[in-house]
Amino acid sequence: MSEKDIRDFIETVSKQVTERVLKELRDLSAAPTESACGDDAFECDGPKFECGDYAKFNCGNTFTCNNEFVG
Amino acid sequence: MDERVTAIGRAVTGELLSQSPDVPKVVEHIRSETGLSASDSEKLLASIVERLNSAIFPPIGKMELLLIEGCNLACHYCFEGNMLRSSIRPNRRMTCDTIEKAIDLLIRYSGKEEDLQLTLFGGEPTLHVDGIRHAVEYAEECASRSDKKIMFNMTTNGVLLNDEMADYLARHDVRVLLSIDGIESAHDKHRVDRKGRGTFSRVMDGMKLLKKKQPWIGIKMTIMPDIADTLYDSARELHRLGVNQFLIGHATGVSWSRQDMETYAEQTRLLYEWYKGRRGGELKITGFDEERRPGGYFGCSAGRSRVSVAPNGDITGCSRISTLDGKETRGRLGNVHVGLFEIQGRLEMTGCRSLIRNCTELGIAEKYRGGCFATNYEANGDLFAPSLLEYEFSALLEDITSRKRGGKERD
Repeated sequence: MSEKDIRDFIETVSKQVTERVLKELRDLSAAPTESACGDDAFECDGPKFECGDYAKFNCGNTFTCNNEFVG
Repeated sequence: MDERVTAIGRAVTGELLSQSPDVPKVVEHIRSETGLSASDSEKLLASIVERLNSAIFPPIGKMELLLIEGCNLACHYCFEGNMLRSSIRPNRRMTCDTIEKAIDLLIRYSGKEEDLQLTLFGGEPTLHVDGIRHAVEYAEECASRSDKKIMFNMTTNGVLLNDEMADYLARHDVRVLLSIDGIESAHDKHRVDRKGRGTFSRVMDGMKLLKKKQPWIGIKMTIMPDIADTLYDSARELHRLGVNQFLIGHATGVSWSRQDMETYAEQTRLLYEWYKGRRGGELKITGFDEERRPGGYFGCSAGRSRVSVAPNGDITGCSRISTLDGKETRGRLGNVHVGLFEIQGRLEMTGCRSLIRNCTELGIAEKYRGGCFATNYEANGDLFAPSLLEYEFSALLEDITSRKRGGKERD
């Protein structure tokens, strides 16, 4: 394979495998437990949220957004 | 192609979602499935890891580079001792290759962030001048190629600063933070060289050099229990000598009696009162101006929007975490070759599920966001088990500076 072929191959496989891992992660996080803003992290990409930018909330908490402690 | 993707996907998913991914095993699996070289297989894994991080986590905007593990001083409280005592290769320096890979990673993981920060740290970074120059110049080049801005900081003990270095740092706009713990008698109690001699006069020489090139001088004061009673006088005197900005913190990982803590709190209160009438202009005390608000997220920005890179290329959430244990990297999130592949580790650090649970069980969750991961580890051997001593400190200091929450303003 040429260098370009290798780059294209890596790009294609990388995209497909990433989707698979993300799907698996979603399946693993079946039950959101605590969420202050009501959205999950897969949709937490910033400006569209009323709860503010990344610095203000935890996107990583098993796909729940708990920017404020909710008990 | 589909079958290969399925096979790779299965292997990668299993490993990356495990608690401690076996990177060499995944790279080998990719290599055998695809026929790619080992190097290209690693690139493919790095690409997957980067996409995953981008999909799940906030962008990384700040990075600390631990350019060297050695130091010319032997301060009594310093975590650098952890690096030296049990490191396999004492005085290990970061290579140019690792520096470049780290900066490349910062650019790639920064997403849409335009303003980035690179902090040059150690050990003592001025022992690795070539590393400083390479990091600064390579980062400038990368920033200009990617339309981003990189702001440089460096934390140093100041003892080795000379004219040439001060000039270089000023020319490249590297903001220097000097470690000075107080007036001479306080500073020299713990900030000593390897022969046990105090370093205050040498640091002040370094500060004078810097002041000529960079008029705004910032210092980091670490307060040990036995110098807690000097804080107020020290800060005023250092301001008179030319210091503009203060980052003040109590020493952690050491024993604080109730009396020492109260002395520290009282000195902080005196300083706060003195500062209230002088803030702005030529003086800033970090932490005294910020409005505290209830709530906020648990943990801190470590692993969330900033990372630290050790000389061997291991990545953690911050430099203090990097140096918790000289034998192995605690709280590792990845390395400069493959990226932040410890997905579960980063989930835990950003989501703080264990930290929230532990704070809740202790009944402190509503007032305390869990503190510093490294301090928690020093106290309890667990990044996510809150240090009760830190909680007490936090409550004492909160009372002094809180306004929003109805804290008492004293005479």
